Amino acid sequence: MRPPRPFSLATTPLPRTFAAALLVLGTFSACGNDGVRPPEGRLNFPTAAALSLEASPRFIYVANSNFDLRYNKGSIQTYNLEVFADAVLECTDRDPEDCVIIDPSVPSLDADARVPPIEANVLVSEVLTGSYADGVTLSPSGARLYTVIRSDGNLTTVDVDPATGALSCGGEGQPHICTEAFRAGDDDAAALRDINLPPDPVDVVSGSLTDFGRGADEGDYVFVTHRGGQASLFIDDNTEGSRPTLIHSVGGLAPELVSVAFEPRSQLFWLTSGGEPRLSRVGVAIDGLTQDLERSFLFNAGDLRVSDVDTGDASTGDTRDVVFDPREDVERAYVLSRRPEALFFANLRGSGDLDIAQVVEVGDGPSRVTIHDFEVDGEPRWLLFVSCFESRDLYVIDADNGRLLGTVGGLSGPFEVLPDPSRERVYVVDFRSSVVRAVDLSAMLACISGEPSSGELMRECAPRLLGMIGQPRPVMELL
Amino acid sequence: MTRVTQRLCALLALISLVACGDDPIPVTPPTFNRPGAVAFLCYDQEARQVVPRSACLEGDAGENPNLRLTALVTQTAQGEIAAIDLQFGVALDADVRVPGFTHVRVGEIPSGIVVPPSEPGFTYVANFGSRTLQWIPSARFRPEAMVSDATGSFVGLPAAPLGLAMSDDEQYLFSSLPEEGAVLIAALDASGAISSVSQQALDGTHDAPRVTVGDGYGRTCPADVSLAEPPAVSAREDVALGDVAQPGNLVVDGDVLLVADESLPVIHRFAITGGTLTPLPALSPGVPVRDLVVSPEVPREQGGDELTRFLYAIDATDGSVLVMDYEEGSPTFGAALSVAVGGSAPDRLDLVGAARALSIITPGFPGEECSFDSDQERGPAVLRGAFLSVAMQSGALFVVDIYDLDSSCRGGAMCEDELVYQRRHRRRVGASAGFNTNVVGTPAFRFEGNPGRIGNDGVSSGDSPGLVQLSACPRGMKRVFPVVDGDPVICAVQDPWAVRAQRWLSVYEGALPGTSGGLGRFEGREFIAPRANFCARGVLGSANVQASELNAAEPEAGYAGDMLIITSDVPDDAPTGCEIFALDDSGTRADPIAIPIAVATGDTLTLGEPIGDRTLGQVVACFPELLGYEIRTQGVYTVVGSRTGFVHRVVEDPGSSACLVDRSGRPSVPACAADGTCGECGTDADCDSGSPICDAGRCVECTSARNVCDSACGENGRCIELRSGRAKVGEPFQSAELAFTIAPFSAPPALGVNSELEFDVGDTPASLALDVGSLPEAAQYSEEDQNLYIVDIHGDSLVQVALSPLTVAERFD
Repeated sequence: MRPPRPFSLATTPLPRTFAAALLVLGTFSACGNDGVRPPEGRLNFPTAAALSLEASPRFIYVANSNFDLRYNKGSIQTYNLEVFADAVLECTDRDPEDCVIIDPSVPSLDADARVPPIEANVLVSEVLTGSYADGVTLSPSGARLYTVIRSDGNLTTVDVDPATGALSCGGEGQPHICTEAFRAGDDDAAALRDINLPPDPVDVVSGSLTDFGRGADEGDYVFVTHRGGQASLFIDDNTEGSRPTLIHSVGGLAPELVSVAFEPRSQLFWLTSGGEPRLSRVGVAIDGLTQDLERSFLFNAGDLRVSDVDTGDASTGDTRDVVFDPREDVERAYVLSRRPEALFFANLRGSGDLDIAQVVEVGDGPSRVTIHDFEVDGEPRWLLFVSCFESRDLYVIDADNGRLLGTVGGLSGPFEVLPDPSRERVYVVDFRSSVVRAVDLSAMLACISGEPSSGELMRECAPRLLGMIGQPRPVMELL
Repeated sequence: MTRVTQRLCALLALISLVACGDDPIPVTPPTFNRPGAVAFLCYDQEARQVVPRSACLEGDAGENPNLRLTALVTQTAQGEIAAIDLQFGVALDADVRVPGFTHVRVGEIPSGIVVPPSEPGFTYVANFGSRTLQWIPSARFRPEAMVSDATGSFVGLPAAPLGLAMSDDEQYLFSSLPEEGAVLIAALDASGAISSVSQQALDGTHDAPRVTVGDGYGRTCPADVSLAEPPAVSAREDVALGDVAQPGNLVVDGDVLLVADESLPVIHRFAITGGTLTPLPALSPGVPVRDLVVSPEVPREQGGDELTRFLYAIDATDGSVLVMDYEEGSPTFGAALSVAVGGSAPDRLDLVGAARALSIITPGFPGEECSFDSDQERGPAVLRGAFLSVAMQSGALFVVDIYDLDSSCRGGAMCEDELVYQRRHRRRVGASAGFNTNVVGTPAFRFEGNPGRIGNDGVSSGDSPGLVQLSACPRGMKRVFPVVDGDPVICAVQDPWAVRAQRWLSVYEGALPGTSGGLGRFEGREFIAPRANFCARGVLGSANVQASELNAAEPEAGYAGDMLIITSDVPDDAPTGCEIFALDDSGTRADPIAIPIAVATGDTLTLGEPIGDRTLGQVVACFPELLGYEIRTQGVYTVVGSRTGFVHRVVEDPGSSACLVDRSGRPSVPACAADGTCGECGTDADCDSGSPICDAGRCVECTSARNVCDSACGENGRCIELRSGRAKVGEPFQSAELAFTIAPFSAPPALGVNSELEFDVGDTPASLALDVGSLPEAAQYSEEDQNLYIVDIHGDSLVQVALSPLTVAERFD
């Protein structure tokens, strides 16, 4: 068994430096110093992202965590993927590491760069939030972004214009700073019902209440997990000017919660834990008799123990992410584990123990997994993408048989992964170098479709890096 | 001084300190990255060339210290092959001109590697990622080898190749093409280059799967230990994971190519005739399989002339391992074997967990049978014969007995030396002495919170009812308490492969595991709990018991049905008068709300009137919302094992969704016709009279568990149902693992009485096992040095396992 890794992004407690920084900030704020605002349009330790909902996504929304607290705010930015796609075409004679696309409004970090960045109007919009954003989700309509902010312990809502990608959250002028009304934490109504939002939210997922058999006009749910082993439910009725309302919180879940995903068949949320060898499951009870959404509550639907794999010892475990196969006839969960560092193919019907059908080894420090179908010879091919933060690569795995199809090396700190089948690409949020990278899958897909190698050179089927949004800003002292 | 300058100074100081040190820390760069397959070559250090592998056979190599057995390990993430000198135990740097450690580059995601044993000039690699088959001069893996003019190359393939195998004549290579549903055939020319490639399509044609009972080869000391016989079971219905063939692992077995199918329930077989694969009748394992191996021919009985052989395969659906008769000419050729006893599936090896890689290991085999005159070391950890090694997903390595050359000598001629439990197709028992299954410590019997201990006579030291002494243990069981002398009070199954070390808890009117929930609600007399899956949890209502038409001998006969217990508090806005149902300060109810269940279905309970002086109407009125609940047994003890769980035989009727007792495992008792064939089936009450029973279409006497599937035969031939987790007060309780009788209460117990019996069964025989890493990916036995090599894909290492005694000799990474 390998020793545990010294650093893990998703389960890192808010560091002492942060507490110290808060103290310092507090002291200075008393003197009227608000700290340094983040420079406009710069990616800064991005941790989460979402794509707009078109078949060929026009925008990518990126949450910047401001992890080193250099500035007094984090941010959410919209980037135009169509502009980026055009700009990348100019990189045909550049090494992928030199294919750097920046917005003209953003000053270059290195004026003497050997290969200057390509300027293109990729930045669409930006709003400032609290620091330590740790999860972002787009509402089913695509008109709202929800992000959890660990430093403030709240759920921040950002309105989105799906047509333009413009973001707003109550601020006026530039920079656009999210106002208190868009930051949902404890509220009076919830407090009256003795419901308080637990601290340290770490992930968020949203969906339509139709997932629970309610009408489409009743709004959306927003489900938040908290690192200390709690989960919270918000409901957003989606009316003009509405904000999510805290409905209920439940505790007693596995410690060190990392991420959450919704499993539609059982209507349960699955929560991964960086502390123990179990996944928690949480259900939403919406009473069909009273028909009162505010009387809904969360309940602990029981854990799934991670067993029959080498987690080091019986009391430790570390799962980082989970996704479910969207196909109706495939009842399978994909659970990303760091003990061992592997992707578990698990059957959904198990109870008590996670029913692991297959274990697929991945790289070091696996952090996020996502699944999407790509068209190969007119048929959908379901691929899993696993970001490995510490081995600094991306694994592409066939969801049907667990076989490794390719790896992408040369990344710095891959974290969030967003597939874009329309362009045969996948976007990788690179935390360490503060960029969003684009990976081209076309060669791999062409190989899968059966085009044979020819000539004397062995064909390269592996996915390859194309370029990136933002200028890499390597971080040495943190990691 | 700026921060940068400060850091530069610190760095310089550090460098200075290192320069002054006497013992600089050697830097060992990581060399493995997602290792996959392994192959071996033999290198002559003096001649500086790769030589036939037979030259490295143990003994020869000992005489010639210049021969170096070398392992080649595919590095799937990097597209490289690492070479390890197994004698020196070092990884070889492929190119010393390149700074750092380098391996030989190949295509993307190498999935298979072969070095021809006799003509090892080229090494062949199947590259899954780049869809190529390439050949590389084998000398390339030994940097100091003499430079030759041989060059390698590759051929492009229409699909990704998976795995690689070579014909015995070393003229053809075979690889799976999963995307094509075909096997690739690559022909080699005289120089060793690939001259042509073709494909052989696979189809799913196969017969229905069959199962027969495995033989009883083995040895026990003492000889009179009662071992359970594997039951005769029906073949499983075919399970497929896809619609088309997906070839996986390949095995060349003489002139036959075996191809595992990871999608269809088929093992494809082909006759290898030149460059052509001629289909042979496929094997029907009933499930898709991943890895497969074939044993050598071994004597059916110890030292006998009749030979047999077996095929082992990993079930792709759950990682279990099945075994098939693979002796050509055998009437049961191709049938899966029923080999396991106890709680595990009979037609699978009892291995605890999912298997990842199989290998047949044959240290000293074929060889001489043991002799009592020899002073050769013998014991469970000394392997001499033919065995199956199973590398598990958990990182454990198990050894399964096939044929042990030392078997007849183990334990001594009269079993005077050691305890021996050995059986073909079972995990090798790892200890030679010191195990004797018993209750560990003293059974505890708590009653209303007061502790009590069970004495050797079954009487409790406290207020609890205690246990009743038995006149004898049921057939196949042994006394486990009291440990030393006296009539048995608790019996456990004697078979070392059937008994499991675990804690047993028997709670009067205890909760059924997995039946608590928070989403229940009343609708009139019904209680609805979506997705509760009551039948799978073993819930029975009184009407369910009646509807199951049980005979009086069956354990559920006459059972009054389980109870619904409400665990949540009364809602704040409940009507006046509901305070009587409120939880107390400790969050419990001294007087539980217990409602007997009349009918249980998958997610609905039809209820009777609550126990006590409340009415169902009152309860329903006070709990209008979703509420918390659990299901408890009524008037019996709920027996739960820490590993076995709550054993029951309740199933959901497909038509009515009602929970019913599954009687399909019980024997059908026929009136035997004059010609010995089965006539009309009677009821199994007939078995009480010792009548023959109908087993697999034949009339046989009810003499052993083999005859009765999931039940056992009592001494009088009466059939005993073993799938039981409800122990009736004052009546004998027997399950597959335990037997005891809990004494009656001295006075009728009140609702909610706390009465708990708890004991641990331990000192069970341990399996021979080894921790070989975190996630074994492949296992390969080397005839040359008689070691087993395990590729640990997660530990990024190659693990060398010595076999006599079984131990991890070295890890290469």
